[in-house]
Amino acid sequence: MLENPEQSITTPLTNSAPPRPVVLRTHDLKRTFGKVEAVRGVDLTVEEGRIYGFLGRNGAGKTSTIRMLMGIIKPDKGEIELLGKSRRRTSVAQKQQIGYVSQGQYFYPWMTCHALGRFVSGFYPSWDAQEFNRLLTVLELPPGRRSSHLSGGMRVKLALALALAHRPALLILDEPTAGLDAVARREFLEIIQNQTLEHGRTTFFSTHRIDEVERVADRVGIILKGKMRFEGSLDNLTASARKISLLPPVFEPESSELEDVHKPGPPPLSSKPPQIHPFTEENGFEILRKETSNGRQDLIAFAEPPVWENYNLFPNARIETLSLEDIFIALAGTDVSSI
Amino acid sequence: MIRAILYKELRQHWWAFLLIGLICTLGFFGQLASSSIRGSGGSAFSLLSGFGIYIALASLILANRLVASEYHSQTQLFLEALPLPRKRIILLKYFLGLTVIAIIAVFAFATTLLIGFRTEALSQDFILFLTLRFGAFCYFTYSFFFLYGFLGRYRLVFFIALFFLSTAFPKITDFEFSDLPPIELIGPTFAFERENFPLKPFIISIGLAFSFLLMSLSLATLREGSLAGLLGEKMSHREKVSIAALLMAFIFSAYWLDESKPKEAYQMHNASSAGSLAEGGQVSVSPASPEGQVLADKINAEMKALSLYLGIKSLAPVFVIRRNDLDPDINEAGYLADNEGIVIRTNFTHPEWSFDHFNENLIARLLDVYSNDRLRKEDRFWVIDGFTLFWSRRHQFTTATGSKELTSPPGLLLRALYGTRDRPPFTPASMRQWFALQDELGHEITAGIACSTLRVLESTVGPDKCQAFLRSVLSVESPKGVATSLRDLFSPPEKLFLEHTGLEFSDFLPRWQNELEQVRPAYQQQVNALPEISGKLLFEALSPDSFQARYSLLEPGEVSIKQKAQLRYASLQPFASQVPEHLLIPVPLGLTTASRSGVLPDDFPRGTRLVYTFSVYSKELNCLIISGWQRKEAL
Repeated sequence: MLENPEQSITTPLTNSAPPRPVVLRTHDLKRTFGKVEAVRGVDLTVEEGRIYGFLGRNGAGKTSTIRMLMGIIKPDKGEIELLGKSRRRTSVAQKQQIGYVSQGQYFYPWMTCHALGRFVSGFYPSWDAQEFNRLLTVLELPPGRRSSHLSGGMRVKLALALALAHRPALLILDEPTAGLDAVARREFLEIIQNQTLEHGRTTFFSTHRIDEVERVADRVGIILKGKMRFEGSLDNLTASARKISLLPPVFEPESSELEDVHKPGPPPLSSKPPQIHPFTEENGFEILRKETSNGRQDLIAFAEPPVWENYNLFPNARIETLSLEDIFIALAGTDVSSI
Repeated sequence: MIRAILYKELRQHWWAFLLIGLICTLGFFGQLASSSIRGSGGSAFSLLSGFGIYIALASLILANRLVASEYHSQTQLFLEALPLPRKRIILLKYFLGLTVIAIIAVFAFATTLLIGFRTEALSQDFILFLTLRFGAFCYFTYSFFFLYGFLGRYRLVFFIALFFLSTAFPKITDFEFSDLPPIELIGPTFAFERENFPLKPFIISIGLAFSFLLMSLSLATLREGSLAGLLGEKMSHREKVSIAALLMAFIFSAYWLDESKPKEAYQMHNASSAGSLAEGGQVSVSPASPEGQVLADKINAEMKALSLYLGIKSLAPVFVIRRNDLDPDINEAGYLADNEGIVIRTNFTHPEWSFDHFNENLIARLLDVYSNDRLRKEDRFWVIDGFTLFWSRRHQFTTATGSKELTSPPGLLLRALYGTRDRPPFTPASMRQWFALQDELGHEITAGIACSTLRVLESTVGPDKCQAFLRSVLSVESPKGVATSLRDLFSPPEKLFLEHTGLEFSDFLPRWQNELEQVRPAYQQQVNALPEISGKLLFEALSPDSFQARYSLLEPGEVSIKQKAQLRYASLQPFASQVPEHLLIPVPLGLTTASRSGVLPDDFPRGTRLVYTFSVYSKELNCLIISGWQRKEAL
């Protein structure tokens, strides 16, 4: 069981592909608003050409983290390493290499799509007007229409076009699909995927929707109450978590058997099932949740994927794999103190 | 980046810049034209002092457009996401606005300078003084309003508070806004001071302007701009209500402070004076003369006696100004806006001028001022109406035998008998409708009626109880406010009457009328000999929008009018029902039937309301008998 419920679950990066250059890395980012600790230590790593899904519940600290990454607010503590340069606050030069789509779009209502492009182009030396026009066409945005006359979906697309037209090294999206209907959301995610597939664009996007992460992200970071709870590849995450159902009745084991149980490795087979199960921290497990009903005990636990291989045949225990949603809910809903 | 922001600002606010330019240009040339029309002398640079208001207006509009609207529409979030530091955005906006103000200021200054070169001798030092003073004022004003723009939804509240402060503060305190350093820079000395440069106000203004810029930057960057963003949000309903309540409280407090602030007594020069405020009253009569001194002493003695009788510590100072052009029966009231005191213009050296008549008016005005006009309330008006005669004629009440009789002086008794003849008995309800009686009979007759009421009261309950009742109505301190209104509401004259005389008012009124009826037979013949007067006034259309008024005097009674009568009339202001007596226009009427009708000399536009009455002087009553006040609208 986790001694500190807020400590981050670390799973190794088990990528078979060679390591890529890191585009963005943060170290112990912290930010407080008055008495509210919005971000309490965020460490994340985004590799080049990857899509990073930054998952968290509403109010978990996603937007505050992104605003720190964008240099809109300054971290109280911690460092941001962006495109090879490490600093407390993102500089103007670094911002010029980032494409950013904020949670809400606050365009000047009197500006047309084209005029907005012209205005924003003044801030990016690498602005590509042709690319912007192409994006407007591809995204089916009427260049002459005022931003106040665009629908919610179109406004997000326009924000994306503005963010992509200067060919940024990193695309940061803050809950871009919030408020979009299913079709628009699907369309938007496909654009993101295509950008990575076709242009090798690195994308960091925050969301509270698990299906979006499952759909497009290579790597996922889960933030809860301002603190990173998990960071790793999606495959690694699902391979690390299991649901364990300990079936009754549970008998007191012989003392010799009990000793054996605490030894690492597969447990010895016994006529009397042990009351103290082997899924403990000492054995390399991290218990996220523990529930008891009708004498049956359910556990949700993390472990290095190879560890599970040793315990898959544990008697009186049914071990099941979990979806990302189950894992996220287990992480988000963990109340270790009540166990 | 700078170009992009500037381009955006110009595209967004071009019409506002144009409007500001237009307003300022029109304002400047309007001022120029009006000063030319007036042909006023003095320096051309006085124009720039007046132009300061346009600089303030332009700054206000600019701050609203450049700052407030950005935060209100939350588009600053869009700007903040761009690779541009927040401070640079604010500074760009600040300098853009300052440039617009500078263009306006330079235009106005250069034009004034061109005029100045033609009309006055200009030294280099003087031009430098003017430039620095005007420039510092513009810089201060713009910086002040730029900061004001960051107040977001509290802008209007701040503006209203500022307006009230600027109007209320000088009233409540000795503080003058014109003494503020930035205002002083373009104050009265601006166009004329050529020797001494106002260095201190200049440094303070520049310092303040710079600190306003720093405060603006702080507001924009404090808590990553979230404070400015928060201020820019819309006001909640609760906030609106709270602020409205606060503003109301502020207005009432300012009003209350203004009312409670002791006003200085008016200083009248070249006047004969008597008494002092500490001794019950101070009188000044202008111009200083032996007759003036006699009058001052006489008034002072009356005031002392009055304050003693009513238990009033000090009455308002009285200022009498002799006006030879006034009729002897006119006592024209003057108004002192910022000083304590009563001003009366009268022709006191005229042989027909009557001190008694003057004194009646003076007593009424003194008690009005003392009571903050509370005595003008209709339910207690009969008391003051009667008291003016009761007090001013008190020396005439004693007969040759030394006793006080209702029949002395007969003139006053006749007024009461004439006014009450053929009328239903008076009741507390009819006493509460005193204004209606005044409209019908005129205030001199009703004063006679009320005076007889008080005299009968004095003889019935004794002088002390009568005095106690009069004190309870006339000399209770009445500060303006809700408390006094409530006190008056719960202490009607009938209640005070019972408390101080021990008599029910409703029981007393028949006793008083009974006394009148007892003496009536002895005076019936004289009363019957008094004329009744009536008349009519009709509007006749001269065109769809203009009318003439045709009048004619009637004699409804059996007694023919043998004196020269008058028609007195005046136009009424909207919602008014009466005008001060000295504003009435008299039209003398002759003795013949032909001379008793005619057409008023004025034409009246549609909608004019006239108040009028026909009147005739009665020697027996020593006052006017009127046909009753009537009102007619030209339709």
